[in-house]
Amino acid sequence: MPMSSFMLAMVVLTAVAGCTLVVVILGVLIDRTAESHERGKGR
Amino acid sequence: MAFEFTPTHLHLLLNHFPTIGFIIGLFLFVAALVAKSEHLKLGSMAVLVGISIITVPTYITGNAAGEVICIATNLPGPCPDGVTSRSLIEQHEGWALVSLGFMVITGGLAWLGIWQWRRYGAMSKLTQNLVLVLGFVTLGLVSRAAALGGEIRHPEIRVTADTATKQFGRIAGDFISNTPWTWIAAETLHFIGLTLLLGVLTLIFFKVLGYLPKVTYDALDRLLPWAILGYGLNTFTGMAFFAAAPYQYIHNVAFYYKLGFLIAAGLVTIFYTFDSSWAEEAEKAPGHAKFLAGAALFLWVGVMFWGSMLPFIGNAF
Repeated sequence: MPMSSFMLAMVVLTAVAGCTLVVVILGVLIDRTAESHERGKGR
Repeated sequence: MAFEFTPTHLHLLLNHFPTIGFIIGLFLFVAALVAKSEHLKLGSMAVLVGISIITVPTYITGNAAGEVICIATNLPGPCPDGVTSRSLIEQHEGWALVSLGFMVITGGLAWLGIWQWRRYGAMSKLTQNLVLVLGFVTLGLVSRAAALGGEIRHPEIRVTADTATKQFGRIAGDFISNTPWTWIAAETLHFIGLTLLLGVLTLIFFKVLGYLPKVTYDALDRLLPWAILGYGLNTFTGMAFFAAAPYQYIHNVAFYYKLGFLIAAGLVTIFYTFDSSWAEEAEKAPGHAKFLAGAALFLWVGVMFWGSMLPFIGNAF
């Protein structure tokens, strides 16, 4: 079924936002682990 | 004596690394856990990172090798020579694509373990457990891919039957090429990954070269996982492009230059994640670190150049 330009933009935006969110969550988790380790060591 | 070196030669050379190399890395890691050896653990993780980098060209050259023995594998029907099985090639491609995904995730986690060890003197238990579990899953997948690959040209060991069922590599590839949104979304994500990767690395390289005196190495080093996440995102989106249209890449000279620059840039960049001599506060970076920073900048700009030249020099798209 052909997609309208608006629908196409919305689907692309959702896919990009979803994947970017996964990357951001992973990055924040890694950074928080580093933060808690470094605080624990008084760095 | 004639000398010829083609992507097929490269595939036949590289295709043993993802299985044999990964077995060595994984079992060294298990031995390190049993012996409680931190140094062996680091060494084994370095092997896993290296193998995950090598797996990308191994996968890519596979399509070129497939085309040589079974011309235009995107056409239906048996291979023209009547011996080689097109179905086996596609089964091999499907398992290899899944293995590649797991290999990149396992390699990324192994890298994270090394970074954690260098930064705060210990790898998190979660990272180690994930490397162990995903490592064995990856080994299972890549072994299946390798066994199928062996059967393609060795009828004497062939046990896998041909099947008319569409295989994962073509399902994924056709999905990306036949839906209007996947390519555009992957292209956008490819640029987000590029920004993350080069944004962080450029700051680090400039700092090593003597600029940004007020910014501490400590702060820049803390950003490195974001760069590696960007690299991972770009590997996945890049492989999505390749799986969708392998035949527009395997004859594309700009693509091979991009791949060469990418591997060289990746290996040079890895130095900054394994070595800490560049990150001594209040001291100038050593000469070799400066040289490698300059080389890495050149190589990463080269990766971007060849990437943007894919349609112009290589006639892609």
